[in-house]
Amino acid sequence: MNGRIKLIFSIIATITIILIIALVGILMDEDVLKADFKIKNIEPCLEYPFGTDWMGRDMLARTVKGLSISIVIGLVASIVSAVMAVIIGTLAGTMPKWVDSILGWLIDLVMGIPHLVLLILISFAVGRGIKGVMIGIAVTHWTSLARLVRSEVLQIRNEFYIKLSKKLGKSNIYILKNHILPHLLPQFIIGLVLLFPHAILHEAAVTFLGFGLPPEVPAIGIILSESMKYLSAGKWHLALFPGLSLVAIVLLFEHIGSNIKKVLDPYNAQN
Amino acid sequence: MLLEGKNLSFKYKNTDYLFENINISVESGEIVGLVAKSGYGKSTLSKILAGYETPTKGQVLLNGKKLPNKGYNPVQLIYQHPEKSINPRMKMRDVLLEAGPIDYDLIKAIGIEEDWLTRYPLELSGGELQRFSVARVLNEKTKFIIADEISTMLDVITQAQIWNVIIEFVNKRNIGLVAVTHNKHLAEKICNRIFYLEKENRG
Ligand SMILES: Nc1ncnc2c1ncn2[C@@H]1O[C@H](COP(=O)(O)OP(=O)(O)O)[C@@H](O)[C@H]1O
Ligand SMILES: [Mg+2]
Repeated sequence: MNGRIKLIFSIIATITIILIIALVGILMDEDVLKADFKIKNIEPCLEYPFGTDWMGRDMLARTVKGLSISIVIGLVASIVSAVMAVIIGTLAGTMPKWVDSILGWLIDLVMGIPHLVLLILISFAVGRGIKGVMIGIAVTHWTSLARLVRSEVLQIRNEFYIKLSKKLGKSNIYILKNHILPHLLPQFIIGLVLLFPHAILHEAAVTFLGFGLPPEVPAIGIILSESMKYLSAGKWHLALFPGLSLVAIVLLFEHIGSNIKKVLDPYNAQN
Repeated sequence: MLLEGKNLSFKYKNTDYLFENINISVESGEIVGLVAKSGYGKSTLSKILAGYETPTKGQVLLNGKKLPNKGYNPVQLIYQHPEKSINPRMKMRDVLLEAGPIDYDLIKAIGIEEDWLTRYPLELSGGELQRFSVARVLNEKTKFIIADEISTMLDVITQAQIWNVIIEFVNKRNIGLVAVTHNKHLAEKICNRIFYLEKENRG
């Protein structure tokens, strides 16, 4: 029990860190992000821990802003794709066989195309910007969770206690709500949290490649791709700190995901 | 009311016939024993009688009609394996509530302690769980009970206690009971008549 409380505490602490970064970024005064040529090209120091760039922009502020954008995009995209995954997975597992076949085919199809290619195509089709990236990430990332949910549903449907519930006169809706969805809940939450880092990295990747967010947005992908040009000029800090921050956020999410797994699924943990 | 299995034959995919042409019936208020060695198909026949499995040949009739597909099945099975009959993620109170309101006198008589109600199935022994799957079917909607080896996990005293509760219940409510067991002596003690599933029934 003590270990459990520790885990929960660690999860809450990590979520708090992420929330603070997101809030600071969202509430940030736009002035902080403005160019100020008086202070351009400052190396990391106490006042500017991440340094400033060739236009005199505070890199720490830009990084926090960029991370908060990534977190918001990641949150929306993961929720949408996790909900899609559960709906599609549950439908595939409970509907007649032909529905299952079609959905299985759809899952395989989307899975078969490399995420980045599909993301770029969708971003193109919907138009660049936050909306395109969100839609792109949501429609590409639901497949693996959907497949997992489907196989779980197919398995649990054959459990004796489900058949027994029917003999007790319970409707399919009742069984879905009281037996199947609670069984899927841990999977859903873990899947959701683990989708997050994927979503964030893909957002950064398409943006870096120039297909994602427009250049005026201080997204991590933009910061990194701009900084690339100055790397050879010795401005290592422009890319290093934002890059490391991105990796740190991703690791924080992985950390939450694996801890939630241990807390939420004591049933599987016991077996 | 009358529950009958007529000309029942059954085989699983890829197996021989477990039994062929079985006729078994039970009337309201009657206690019928179903006795056979283990592996002879008692649990399978129990599932068929309660509508969990479809017989390969023959049919199960309740007052001459097929068992209902929807709603509360008047023929309830207490399965041999309680741990498979209960959702491991549900608290025991919710397990009971799924069948209807809880009769606290009844669960007490059957030996369920009240603080078990807040536990999960993994926190109870097989015998303790079995009392829940018994209690669950003892309600006014049940007209026939198929009790599949319900006492094998219990010590002799608890066995007697639970059979007493069940027999009192079926007598009071005029319920038909099929007591499935490999224990001939138990069957002889509690049943009005006994149906033996023999080697000759096997395919
Ligand atoms: N799902 C199944 N598929 C194939 N064979 C099965 C299945 N369930 C049970 N059997 C076999 O059917 C036979 C009868 O099983 P069962 O009805 O459980 O017998 P009993 O309850 O009398 O011990 C056994 O030999 C068992 O191995
Ligand atoms: Mg058996």
